[in-house]
Amino acid sequence: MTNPFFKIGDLITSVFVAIPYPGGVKVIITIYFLALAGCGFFFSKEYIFKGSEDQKLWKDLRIWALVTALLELAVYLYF
Amino acid sequence: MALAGIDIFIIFVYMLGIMVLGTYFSRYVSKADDFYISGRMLPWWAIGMSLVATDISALDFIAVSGQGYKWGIVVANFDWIGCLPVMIIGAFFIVPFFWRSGAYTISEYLGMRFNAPVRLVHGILWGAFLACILGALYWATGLMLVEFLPIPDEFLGGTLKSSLNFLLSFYGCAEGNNWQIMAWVILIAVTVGVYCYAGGLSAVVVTDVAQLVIMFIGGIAIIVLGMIRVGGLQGLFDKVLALGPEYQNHFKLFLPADSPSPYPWHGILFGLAFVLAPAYWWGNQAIVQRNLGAKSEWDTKAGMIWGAFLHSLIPIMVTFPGLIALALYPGEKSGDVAFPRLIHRLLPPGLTGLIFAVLLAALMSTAASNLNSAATIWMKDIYQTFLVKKGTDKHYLNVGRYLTAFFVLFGILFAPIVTRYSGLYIAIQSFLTFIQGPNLALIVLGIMWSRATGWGGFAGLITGLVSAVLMFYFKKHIFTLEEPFLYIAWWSFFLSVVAIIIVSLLTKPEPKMKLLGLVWKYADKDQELQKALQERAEK
Repeated sequence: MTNPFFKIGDLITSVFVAIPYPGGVKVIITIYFLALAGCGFFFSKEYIFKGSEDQKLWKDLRIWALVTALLELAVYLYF
Repeated sequence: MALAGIDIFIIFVYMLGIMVLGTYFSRYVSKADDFYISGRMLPWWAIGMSLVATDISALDFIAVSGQGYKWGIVVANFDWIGCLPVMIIGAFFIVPFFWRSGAYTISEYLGMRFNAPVRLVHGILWGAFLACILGALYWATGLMLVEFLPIPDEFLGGTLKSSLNFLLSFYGCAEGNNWQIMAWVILIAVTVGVYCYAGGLSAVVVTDVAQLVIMFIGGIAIIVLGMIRVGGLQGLFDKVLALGPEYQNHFKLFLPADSPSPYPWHGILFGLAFVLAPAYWWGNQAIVQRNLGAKSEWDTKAGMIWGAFLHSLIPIMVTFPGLIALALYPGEKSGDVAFPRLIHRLLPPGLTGLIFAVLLAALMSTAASNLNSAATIWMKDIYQTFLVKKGTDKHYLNVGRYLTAFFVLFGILFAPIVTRYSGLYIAIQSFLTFIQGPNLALIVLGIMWSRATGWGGFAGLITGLVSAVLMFYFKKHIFTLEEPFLYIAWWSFFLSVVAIIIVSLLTKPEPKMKLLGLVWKYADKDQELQKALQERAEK
């Protein structure tokens, strides 16, 4: 008799196996990183700069997040 | 393999320098706050560098490069998708709440958000984990040190060997060169213990900064030399791919869902990126403690994102050496020897000492953070909360220092237990697996769902913990993979979330005043928040 846990595992795996590889996986990753790069812009400026002595451009953490996330996305698209 | 005189000199200067630098900061420690959270004076750049130095241990250089040797670039996911996304999200959504609460520990925050039982169980779990992980770190590094600096049998007239073998006989492992590993364990543990005892978190962070700089210099040196030897990136690709069909996925960051490796893409994405990584970066006391010591809310957020950027450079230093070693020296039985072989055969005298200092830096920065955090949790969440509630500030400072000394000893005595596990990296993950799922569920629902109640949190913690332990011990009957730690983390997180939701809906909602400043819903009500925090501080 087949182990029921293995059956559940096989069922879940079959869902992921059905996603086109590598094209579909790269699309998922791209959406994930783009959402990440842009997530800071959903916050108010006040929240981003809270605790900072001034609001200079280089201190805008939304830009920090954008640049960092896009750099890593480039790595994932390359490999 | 023996080091040249210049190498030993570099190592000696490095260890002495770090010890002096760390103990120098004892002059800035006069209160408990200074010892545990640096008097809340840490700037963003030091926080970011310290976060990365804490995360990267000598294990990463040895075990991750070993996994890179065996499985390929897919293990870089632990440092790429396993870090950057959750660090950015954590910077905006998570650490500001920890910082605003004024807590010393995550367990303390969860105690404020949920209830005292959650704080107690969470504190004991993390306190025990941080203490045990020290032993694993020490043993792994001792293993590495013996490779470079073997101790002669006749050292100190053979007394050292016989004494340590006597100690190891209690663990059933008084064999081979284990006594040499134990000798290095004791030396490293005491060195780290001295500056942690003296300078607290400030000493940990400032030495982390220096150690990260050394790690980058040494790591880049070995990669440059290695890449020159293999003929650049293209040469590396060609050499590895020419090894045979089993190496064709060595340069793929995502492996097919039906891959026989422990890292299929859905396991990486849903187990690592969505559960293990956030639990580690948002819920590991050794990581978050420097965020709690930030001098402002902006600094705690900026430190996390700066750390994310620096961390994205780490796989170049910890994964690529494994691939270079594979290209140059294929056929090793264990991947764990890849990095030592690379150093042994590739580097000239002088540079070997520098790389050796890099490995020591990686170990010491991680060990120091774990040591300091273990002392903080046991003092703040257990001793001060349940044993001595009305002690003086000086008393709590002293207790922190005594606990630091105790955990140095505990780490030394725990270290030989690691020999029972076949793979060092897997051993670390096994420890983490038990607590990561419920830990994440508590933090995420605690911050994002104001309806989550104290007993809901407690039920989620216990459910997640028990389910993770059961899944771990019955893994052969539940999972088809040999080491399914990613899946155990995911399922224990899921079960924990379900338990929190069900029990919370069955219990009375928490009063609004209790939640101010602790949950997302009441994040921006500043006047009320300040008042609530003030009242909490006065209690």
